[in-house]
Amino acid sequence: MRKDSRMTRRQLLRIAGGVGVSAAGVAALAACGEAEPQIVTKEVPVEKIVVKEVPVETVVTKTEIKEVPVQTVVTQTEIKEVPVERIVTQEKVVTKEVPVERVVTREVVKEVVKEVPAMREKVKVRWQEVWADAFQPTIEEKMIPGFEAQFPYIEIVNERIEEAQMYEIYLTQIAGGDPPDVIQIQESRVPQFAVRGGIIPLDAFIGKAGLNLSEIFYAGEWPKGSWLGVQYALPLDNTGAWYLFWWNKDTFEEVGLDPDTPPTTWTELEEMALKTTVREGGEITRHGMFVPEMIKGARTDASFKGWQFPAGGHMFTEDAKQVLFDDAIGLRNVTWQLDMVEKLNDGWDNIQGYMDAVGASRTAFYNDLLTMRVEGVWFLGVMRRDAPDINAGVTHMPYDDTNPNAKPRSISDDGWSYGMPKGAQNLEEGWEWLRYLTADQGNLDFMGNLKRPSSVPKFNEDPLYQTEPLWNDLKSVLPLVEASPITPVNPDIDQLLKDEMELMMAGKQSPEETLASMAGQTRELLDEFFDSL
Amino acid sequence: MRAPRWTIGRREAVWGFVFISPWVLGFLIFSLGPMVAIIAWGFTEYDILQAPKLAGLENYIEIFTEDEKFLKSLANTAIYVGLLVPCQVVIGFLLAVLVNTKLPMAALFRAFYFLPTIMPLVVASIVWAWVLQPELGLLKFLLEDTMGIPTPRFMVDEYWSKPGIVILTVWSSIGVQMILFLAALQAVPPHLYEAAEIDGAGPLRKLIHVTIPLVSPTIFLVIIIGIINSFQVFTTAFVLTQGGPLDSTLFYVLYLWRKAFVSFEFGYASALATILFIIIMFLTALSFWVSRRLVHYEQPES
Amino acid sequence: MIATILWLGLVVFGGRSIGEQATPFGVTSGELLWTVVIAGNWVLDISGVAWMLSPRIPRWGGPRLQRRLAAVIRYELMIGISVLALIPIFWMVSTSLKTLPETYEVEPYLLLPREPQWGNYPFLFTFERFNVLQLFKNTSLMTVVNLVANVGIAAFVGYGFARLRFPGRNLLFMLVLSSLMVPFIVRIIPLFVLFSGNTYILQDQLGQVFSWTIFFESRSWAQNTYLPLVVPEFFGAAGSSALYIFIMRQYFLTIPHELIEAGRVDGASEFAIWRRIVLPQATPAMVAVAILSLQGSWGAFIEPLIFLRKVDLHTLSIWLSSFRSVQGESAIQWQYGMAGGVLVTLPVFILFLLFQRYFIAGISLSGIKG
Repeated sequence: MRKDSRMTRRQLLRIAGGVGVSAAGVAALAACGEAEPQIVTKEVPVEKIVVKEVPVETVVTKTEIKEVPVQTVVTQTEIKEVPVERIVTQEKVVTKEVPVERVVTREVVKEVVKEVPAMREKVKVRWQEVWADAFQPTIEEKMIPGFEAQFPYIEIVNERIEEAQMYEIYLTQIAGGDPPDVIQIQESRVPQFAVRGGIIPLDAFIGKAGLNLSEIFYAGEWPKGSWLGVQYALPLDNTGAWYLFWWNKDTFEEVGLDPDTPPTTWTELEEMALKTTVREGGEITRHGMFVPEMIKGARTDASFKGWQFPAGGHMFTEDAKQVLFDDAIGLRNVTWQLDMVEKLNDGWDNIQGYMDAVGASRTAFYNDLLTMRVEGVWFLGVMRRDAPDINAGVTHMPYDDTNPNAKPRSISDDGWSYGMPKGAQNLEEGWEWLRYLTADQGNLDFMGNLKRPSSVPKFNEDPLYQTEPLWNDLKSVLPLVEASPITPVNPDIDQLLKDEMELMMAGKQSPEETLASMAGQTRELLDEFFDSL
Repeated sequence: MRAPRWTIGRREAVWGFVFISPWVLGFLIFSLGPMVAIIAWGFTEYDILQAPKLAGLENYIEIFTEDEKFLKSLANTAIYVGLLVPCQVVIGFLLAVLVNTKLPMAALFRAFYFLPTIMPLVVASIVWAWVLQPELGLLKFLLEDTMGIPTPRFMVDEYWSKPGIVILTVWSSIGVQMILFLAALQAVPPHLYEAAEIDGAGPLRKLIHVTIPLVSPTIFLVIIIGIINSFQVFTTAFVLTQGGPLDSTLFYVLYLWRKAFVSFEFGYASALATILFIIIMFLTALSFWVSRRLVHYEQPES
Repeated sequence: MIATILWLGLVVFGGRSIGEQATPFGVTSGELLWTVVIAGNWVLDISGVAWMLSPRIPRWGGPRLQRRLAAVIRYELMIGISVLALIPIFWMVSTSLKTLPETYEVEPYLLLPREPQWGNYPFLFTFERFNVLQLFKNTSLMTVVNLVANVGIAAFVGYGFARLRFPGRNLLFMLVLSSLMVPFIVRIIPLFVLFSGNTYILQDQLGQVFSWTIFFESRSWAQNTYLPLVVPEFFGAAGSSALYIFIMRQYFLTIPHELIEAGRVDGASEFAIWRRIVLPQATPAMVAVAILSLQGSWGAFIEPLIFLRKVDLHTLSIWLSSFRSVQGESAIQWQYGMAGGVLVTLPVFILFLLFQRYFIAGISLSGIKG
């Protein structure tokens, strides 16, 4: 017994030692983290922007019903009926469900603020974005210093996150109550966040700063950051140019086409694509064009939307409540795409392999295995770096010449913007940085370095862009862009468009079925959403 | 005062609890809460940004009655698990037997087989995507372009997409199974082989009658871990196929991810996760039950 | 399988033309190579293994010759399989030495760089945005601490589950495994909430379910530190801890019970039995757990991405991801990404080479006689 207990004590000591060591390890690691600055908290009256949800009206309907019953008076000789008027007031209270309106006011409230005693400590603005890769010294060298020179009390903390995981990270941080102050967000996702209160309305800030959005940004750009008239995000890039037509001039010359005359109509596109196609022993060794390959990878939803506008069609009504693509133009769009795959590529099997996530179609274009393709404006910078020797041209997408109403135009229903997530700590300072990034010098620094058109027209005239020989061709496409409404169910609609288009391309359903199915499902999603409001 | 009389069994039980106590603590602090939360969210309508609204069984009713993709993704995942796990067990075991030798340079080969496992996932997925790329990939070049051997169109063919992902997963994870089997081979006592040799058993019979029974706990381990992990296949499909072509690689967790982070239906996703949890739990329990007869453990009774 | 290498060499240096020559047999040289060399080689391999395994096939020569033959066949197989395993590695190394336009050359296929760009490697250390040495330091520190925690805890807890009988043991063990069964992408939300300590948010949302996490109310302890990535490992509650516990449990189950009984008869406590008798027997399994833990924490991506948001706290995996983008709109600079991949892979490869000798303790054990 004694022996046993002694042994146990020794074991206990040993276990304790182990725990001590591990605790030391943990402490050492913790020390590597950030030391929390000494901050005194105080209650101070602060002017603050308050977002209130105010139910706008309750409707009370009063219905008065006059009832005239008959009173029977019985006298000796005769029975007289004397009508007596009785008024029954039936009060029916009809409470009309009125959408809650966000009222943004500025109020003086008492708030616990971090007050830094002696020397004024800088406010750290946490900025999360997905683009700043290792090759962009612009952020450290120009943007942040440029901003901090204007606002010496603000320190910008750049937290790069991964594009593929961006919404996981945003949602996780918002749920954990630890969101950054400024986030990069796709405009196709802004309504989705806005309708759930996940992103802060900017109207009050915009009003205070006296920004006139329609003067600063392209007309097709800034409304995409809004939902129901409230601005939630400011645009970073000119996204109108997500659908641009690129062609290889050398190949055009080689087959006897004018290298500087790209196809402008669907008929010309077909002709030129057939002319540049090379077949050897029944196999295609060079493709003219992959009509359903858009932007990059297997985005067949983009191919439907992308060709719908040059076909002369629309996606939705202005208020996004009605589907408009369910018509002859939509049918023409899908039928034509299917036809082209058969005619130009001998079937979907031959091009499906290029619709992948690693960019096989780009590689094919660089290696003269593909002559023409559609990709967004970022392709300019990418191409210059990946294949500096390629002699390519850029123009708008060809339009459907069989439709008299069709003209060169393209859809814009996505893009990149900056907003402030729910729960952001430093709204005022965050807003300054957001404004600098989108409406000010920061936008030019960032976009100019990437050679991507800015959301601000005047920046696109900057000499920074003029080094690029194709710049003016590219800029001429920007005015052809039309915004298409974005709804909070946008991601689901994209997914179903993609699935249905893929089914059609694989021969599992006819164009008519495809269009009907797409329209039906989209309507269902939209109706379900608008009913839930 | 008398010390309490502990029976041997009682003493062993107390020691048992002492040994597992770190895990019990960790489970209560770190694992239980999230699991309870996910199960609870399964009964709500929750989008992470707003407070959850109680929805009763609505999510489950929708999953089981209306959701076609639920069944599709579950079937995809089951096929994938059925293809992958046997490959992992057989190839992993054979590899371990092959490199379990003292021949010079064998160490290098062991390291080579483990190399694909330690390649960072970010790099590995891109490299493999390019190797298996159906039009411009390295495999197609090596086999079809130079040799005229037809290569399956991995990743883009409806029927080859799952085998493509299986090949890739075996390729990138077989090092793990090899290590587990290598460790297990060390526990086989040499005297058993000597005894078998005296009985006149050849190498094949030694393999079947001595080695396999003695590493059966590890075979069991590899199967269970394989089932648990491959039911949750996500990254490969997410990076390489995004569920396509024609939803043939829409695996369960990928579908769940779409629900959670594309459609913002986290309540629904939690319900899906709970169902997955129950399925995996059931299969694991079933395997444990089956293994009682098939797995050889060094234990006095049971 | 040696033939596979020869053929690969031909392809690498000869290019596409190797397979396109006409031959007197009416097929192209590629098809001939395929059928004769590769298929023939496989037939030889398989018959060689069959010869080794089956006692029925007649033997010739002395045992010395047989041992040599067996060794030759084993080498042949090992080399051949390593070719398969190394194709992606070869691709990674080759790409890391190319120029960017070269990485896109597929017509004809450029398997090797025209001129190796050794400068790609030093270039990685010139970024101002990422201090690569700092990243190496961060990652190794995290990896080492996790490794110690995982091996220790798995060996301790695993023994409890393997060799000590107590009520509810099997049920509790299912609970251990259960933590592996919830997909990480779902678990991450409550986990982050737990670590960011803002439990009041969940209390709002979920009533009292989470109120016990009030312990974590001190907000700063898990903010931008390695704690969320390290502390659960010390309690067997991290992502793959259950796997390690399982590995150790299965291994302990194969240790002869006579050893443990002998210890008990001698009056040693269970702790002493574990420490003195069981652990020394379990070295291979502990090394396996160590290697898996090393590989897991070294390559951890999504957890660091979510918990560590300051660039100077980042780990190597996050750094590597900054060379690519899934949507592909911004830069993918393959050559640097792959060079980074080589740099990140190399230390683990070397460590593995050092560790793996624990796997060949007793060699006469193996199923196939070597």
